[in-house]
Amino acid sequence: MSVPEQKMDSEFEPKIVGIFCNWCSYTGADLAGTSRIQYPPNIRIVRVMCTGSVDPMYLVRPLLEGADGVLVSGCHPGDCHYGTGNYKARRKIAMVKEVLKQFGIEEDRLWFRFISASEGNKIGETVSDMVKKLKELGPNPLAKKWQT
Amino acid sequence: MKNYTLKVENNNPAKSTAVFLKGLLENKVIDALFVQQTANGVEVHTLVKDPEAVGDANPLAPISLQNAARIVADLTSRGLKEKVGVVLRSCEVRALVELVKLQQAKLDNLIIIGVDCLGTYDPAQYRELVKAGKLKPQEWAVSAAGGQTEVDGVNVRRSCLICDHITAEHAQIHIGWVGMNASSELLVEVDDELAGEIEKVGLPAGGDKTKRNELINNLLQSRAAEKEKTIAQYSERFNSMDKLMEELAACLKCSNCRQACPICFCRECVFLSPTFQHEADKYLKWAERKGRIEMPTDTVLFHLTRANHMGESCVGCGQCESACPSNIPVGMLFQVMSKRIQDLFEYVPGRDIEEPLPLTTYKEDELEPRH
Repeated sequence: MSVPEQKMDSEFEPKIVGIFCNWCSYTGADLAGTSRIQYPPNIRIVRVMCTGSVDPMYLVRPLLEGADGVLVSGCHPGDCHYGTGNYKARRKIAMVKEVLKQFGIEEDRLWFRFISASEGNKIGETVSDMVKKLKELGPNPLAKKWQT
Repeated sequence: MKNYTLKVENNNPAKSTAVFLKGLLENKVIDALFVQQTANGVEVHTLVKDPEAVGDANPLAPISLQNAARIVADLTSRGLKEKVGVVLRSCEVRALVELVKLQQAKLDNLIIIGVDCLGTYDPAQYRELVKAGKLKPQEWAVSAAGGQTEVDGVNVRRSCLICDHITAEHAQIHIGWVGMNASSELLVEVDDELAGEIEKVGLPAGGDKTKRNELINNLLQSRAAEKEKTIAQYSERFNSMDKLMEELAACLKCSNCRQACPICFCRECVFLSPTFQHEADKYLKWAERKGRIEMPTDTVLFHLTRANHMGESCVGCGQCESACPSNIPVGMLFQVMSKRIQDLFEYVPGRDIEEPLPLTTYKEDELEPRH
């Protein structure tokens, strides 16, 4: 008789929403895959054309709905396909962090990184680092709130 | 700026102001005028072409049914062919400057006529005070010229009490009454370029501003201190998500705050768009995940998103708070958030028309990450 498989390890596994730009970081994540770079499977990546185009709403909502972290990644300074979208994203994210800080949401739940198409290894390292950091922070308490 | 004196008769500075504005129209200094006029016990915004139709003008009355910057934006966004004088308070001018930067308004052919403002009342309270004869809009500038705004235990709106702006910025013509002996004279300041034209209206050159400047400086200082104190107090009141959700529990997501906001200019708000119209299955799935969800959904998200959208340009006019049917202190909530945003970018909305909006510009070496 078969016994249903049970997860023995009940360690908290953070959920990360990744927002990666089409030209650099998403391609970088592809490279990480084709290069068989190992990294924790805690991230769900959304591809966007440019990090500069991401409205703050899309950074706030995952956190309000219970994601443990949001990782936004774009091209390196000077490499933005559209010129300056990544610089503007950096400002936008700094702004969102200020608002989140006001309400006691840890700013380490929102990361912004520059990762190029050739940096598959950096994708792996960044996700690993973020998972580690989020494990330290623990689960996002907003996951259980129904009044968001 | 050149100074002129506007004589006041019969304890009625509003009347003298109306006569002056009429003179601007008659002498073709302006082709049309945008000004608040008294209608059935409250001052509404009007656009005037006929000089004979400014008789009820009272831009000094302590009431502002809406931040007029929005109306001026609508009036100017497609270009003005005639010279229009717009009578605005500081918060309205500052919001207008932000709307120009947001490409929602144009300053071409616009003559900004600024007026002093010590604050405006909540519209419902104002109408009661006026109806009961306790507040005489015509004589407001006389009774409040010393800085006293409380009438019968009622004061101007909270956002106004902590507003550290009294004179209107960027005005080509400015009508001042604070710190003046407003029962006998007002101060009219005019841009040097326009001064020649104003002479046609026939105002005598102006007198001593020492007393006025002294009072304004004192008021600004005490209000700035009060502002800092109040924002700190509310920052504490909203310092956790639990507290925020508690305060926003009564929010019915009516969007009045957004509608009243001079900066929120989108014709269709994303929260009313199909982005937030979901299939029933989705709501049920969310409800299943958390056990229950509040309906309508995304109330907290709405306010946090709005703060991120207009926070850099929030001028603190407090119209959102007056518009809230649930009496949620949204004006203070937004001031708490926008202060953090504006401090981050060292940006002061309305300060300088040439200063770019923080989110439309960047520096290579700033913030994190750097590489």
